[in-house]
Amino acid sequence: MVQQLSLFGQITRSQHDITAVALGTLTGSAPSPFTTYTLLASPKRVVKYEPNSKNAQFEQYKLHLKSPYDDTKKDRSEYSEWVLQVSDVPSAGKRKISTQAIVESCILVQKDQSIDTVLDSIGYLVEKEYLVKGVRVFYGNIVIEMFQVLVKTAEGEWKELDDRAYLIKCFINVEKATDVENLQKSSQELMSLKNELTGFVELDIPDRNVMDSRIGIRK
Amino acid sequence: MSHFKVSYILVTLMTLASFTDSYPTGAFLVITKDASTNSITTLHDRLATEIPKMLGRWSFELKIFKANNQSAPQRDNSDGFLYDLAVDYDPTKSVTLVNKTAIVTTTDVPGSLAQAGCSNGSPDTLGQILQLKLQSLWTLRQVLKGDNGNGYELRGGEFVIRAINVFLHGNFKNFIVLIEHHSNSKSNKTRELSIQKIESLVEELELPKGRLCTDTLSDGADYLSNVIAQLVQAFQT
Repeated sequence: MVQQLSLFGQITRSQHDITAVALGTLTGSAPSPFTTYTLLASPKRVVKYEPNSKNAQFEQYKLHLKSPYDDTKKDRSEYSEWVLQVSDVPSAGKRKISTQAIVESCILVQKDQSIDTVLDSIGYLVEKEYLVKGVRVFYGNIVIEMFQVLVKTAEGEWKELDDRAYLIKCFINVEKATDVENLQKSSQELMSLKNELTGFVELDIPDRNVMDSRIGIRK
Repeated sequence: MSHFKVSYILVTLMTLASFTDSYPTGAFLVITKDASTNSITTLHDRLATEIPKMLGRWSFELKIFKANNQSAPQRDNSDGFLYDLAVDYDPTKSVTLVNKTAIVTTTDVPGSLAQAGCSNGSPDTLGQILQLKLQSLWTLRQVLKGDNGNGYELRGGEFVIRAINVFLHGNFKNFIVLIEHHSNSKSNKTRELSIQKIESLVEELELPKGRLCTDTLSDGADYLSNVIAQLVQAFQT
């Protein structure tokens, strides 16, 4: 489990090239491109919340599965390695940095399986799939990602969900939630990046509810 | 004369090397009835006469989950149980068995995924995620633990024997022996051959009497998947 400290921002498409150059100059490293194939899986049966139930009731979460995108592969059944991630709702309270706990594991799909059969056996179903495509730079301990989300059209082509804008995500992963010193240091680091980029990119914390991957019970 | 000797040594070395590289074609468990916590020492003394290569201590943990009634995946062929196995001689891997499907997870994220930035680091096993985040679907019922087991390598690596006492909530439950037959060919016939060889080894070494569990999931299934299938077979009856 890691604690992910993050800030988000948005730029228009016309700003993309100059921002890429600016980030390269700021960090002193060339932006490296990445494309991540992501699956979003939901439980096959959603448990309804019963206000006066005697049984213990647990939250249900959506699962994220990530793998590097490979355009030589036809569909998700050809991918054999997946990182499975489940994220908590970000911590509440008045904060300057979004803090979210994420657990993950790496699934090695065996020869006679596909990711769908694996998820099916634990009671999950793939609901959506999308690509995250962009560039990544590193600034001290901070990872800065500038990306767009691509979804599959009816024709089977990947197309930007919103081709007018790019998202910017700056984050640091801290391994232990109890490591207060590192959490503070990382928050400061992100805050100073925010100050540095003021007037260029506005970095802010996203709405907690948007980052919530729980389903069912309370909704 | 000397020429002959040299070639002989070379051959032996080669066989040894090929055994260590090879994959076990079978990993089979014997469950012994009327076992006590001392059975392991008796077996240790028995195997010591074979002058085995000691593989050191080992342990395992088998978590048994039951599907939650409200949200159980409704399928006719499902027994509603999920098993999660972790063994300490393969610490990065864990395997989850549900409805004859073995899900292999690793905490050693492959380089290609880590480099592509898919991983956030410090991965857990699937069993831990089930316990933390999938409680609405699966509830942990029992944890079977094997502690302080012994590992032996016999006949230049052809057989690996792992003996262990199994405890359920701190109470002695059974004594199990895991026997692996290693060979260099992967063809289908060797599985039958492996079972034969293991059966003859059990007789030859006069191992304690027990039941041989030889379930496998499929031909392509990996080592841990077969171990968990046999463990479950062993404890079910």
